[in-house]
Amino acid sequence: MSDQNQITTAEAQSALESLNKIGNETISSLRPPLWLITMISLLCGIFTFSFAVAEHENSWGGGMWLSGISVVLLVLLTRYSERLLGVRGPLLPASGSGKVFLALQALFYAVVLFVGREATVSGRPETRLEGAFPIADLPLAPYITAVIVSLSVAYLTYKYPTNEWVQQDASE
Amino acid sequence: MKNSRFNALIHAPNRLHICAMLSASGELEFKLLRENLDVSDSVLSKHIKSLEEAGYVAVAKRRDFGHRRTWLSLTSAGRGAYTEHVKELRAMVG
Repeated sequence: MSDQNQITTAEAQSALESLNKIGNETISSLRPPLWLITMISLLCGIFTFSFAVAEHENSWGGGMWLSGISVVLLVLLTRYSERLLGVRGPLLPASGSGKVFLALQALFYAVVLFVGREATVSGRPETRLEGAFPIADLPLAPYITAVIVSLSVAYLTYKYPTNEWVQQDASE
Repeated sequence: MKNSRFNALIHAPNRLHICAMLSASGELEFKLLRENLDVSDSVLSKHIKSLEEAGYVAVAKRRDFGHRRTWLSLTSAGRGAYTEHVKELRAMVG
């Protein structure tokens, strides 16, 4: 760098490559262990399934509560261990892109949960409320939505553990 | 190449590293940053001081688990300056 405010394109390229590397390393160091990611994602899948099939006549409501409480406890455990290691993640992302990213995730999960529930329960002629519009009667809906939620939670927790949108190499 | 969004203060390698790490998380402990950067306490303190004076980094000293720990985070001005700087680098590369 010849001047404080002047850099060449090659220097800019090198700085960007270095930032990508730092982004990848930071995400790796902040990422929860794989067993914890697996547990959280499986429990989220169980919660989704339970939410879709819970009725007065079965005990899936209990499964929903148990899996929901377990997810909260595991997230608290993750945050506690991160704090011991010297990382304090905010409840909400600090950046605008992080907030948009989180809002999109919330919307996605709300839609998946709603569709899973409606397609399972409201679609059945015997449980449909009079005048209610049936979305569908898809027996596989709880399984499909549970797998979608489980896989997406695992992917997002692995790639974006801090909920911040961080530029990462495709190879990582 | 001279640009208003280019930030010479942030662009120094160690400070760019500090900003990149802080932008990916909420608060990081001084010790964790020092280990990641592989620098001494005094070198990191100097960089943090210059970023703090520019209003880019907030320093908080708190007692945690019986130990006094120093936590660092990007201020909104720091986050904005870092984002603009990265945008500028991308624009330079094209």
